[in-house]
Amino acid sequence: MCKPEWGRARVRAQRLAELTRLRRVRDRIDREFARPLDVEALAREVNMSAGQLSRQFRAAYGESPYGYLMKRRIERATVLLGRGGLAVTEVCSAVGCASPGAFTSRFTELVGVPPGAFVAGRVPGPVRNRVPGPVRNREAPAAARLVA
Amino acid sequence: MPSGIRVGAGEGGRGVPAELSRGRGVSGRIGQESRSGGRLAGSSLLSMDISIHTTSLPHEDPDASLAFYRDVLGFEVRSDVGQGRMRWITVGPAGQPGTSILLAPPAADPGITEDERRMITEMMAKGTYGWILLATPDLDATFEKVQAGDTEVVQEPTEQPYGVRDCAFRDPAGNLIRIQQLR
Repeated sequence: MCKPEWGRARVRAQRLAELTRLRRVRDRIDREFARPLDVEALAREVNMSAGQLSRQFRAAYGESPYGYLMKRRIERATVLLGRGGLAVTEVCSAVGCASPGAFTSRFTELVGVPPGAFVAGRVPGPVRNRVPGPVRNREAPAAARLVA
Repeated sequence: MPSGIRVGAGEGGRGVPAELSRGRGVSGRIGQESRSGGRLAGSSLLSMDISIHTTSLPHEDPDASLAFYRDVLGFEVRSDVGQGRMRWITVGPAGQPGTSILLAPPAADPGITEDERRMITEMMAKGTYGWILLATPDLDATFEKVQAGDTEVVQEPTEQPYGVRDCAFRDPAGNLIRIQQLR
């Protein structure tokens, strides 16, 4: 007969292995956000469906992999726009966004001004520290579930 | 392999610059010293000589972490005590004996509850627990060497908007290893 603690240990090990897979996905987004990544491709690499990955990633990190990917891209876009010399469309493709419409609306949502109106120095601090506030707040319950 | 990597603040733990340790510019006593009858007369805050000696990072598989710091980063192994998962391994860059990283079992303090222990191992697995900032005079060469060691790359060498150029890796326990270009 199986002792209950063996079963618990197996569940624990599976949970840690799953979190390690999610970490690899997140690291890949950090490493390759400027390439044409999509959630299907990210999921394939860790043998998950796109839906599974999105659900588990959100439970672990408090936002969807697509949300995290776009945040990284917008963050980089503010750096490139701040340096000057590149048009908005050039910045959009330089950070890996295939859709200028999605880029502009997400940029405006996160930074507070549209990319064409963005002037470095007017908006204080890096995007990652400053902008995710509302996103994190909205998704706090998902992160809290991880603790339970 | 000489890695040329430096750990932590300061220049290899050589301590406080001479002009500071001579206590230049501070002659008065502070309140505590006056009340305790002047036992500490002559000492001052500026005469303290403190270096950053050891910082610790958790390991999950001690042999895997040891191999990473020794074989990939080229650190020397300064001590290795304990056994099984309960191992405390001190490593550091050759030529900088004053600065070390202690690779330690996570949550080994008996005051940590079972829930906290579980949370710590989960945070390590998802990569949000331990991190360290290293520096090297030649970031590109260091990046190539570390990448060749089959290490998980988190960020290729990148010019950051806050004025540093750095790259990032994971160690085998999921700690983030950021390496910055010395300028």
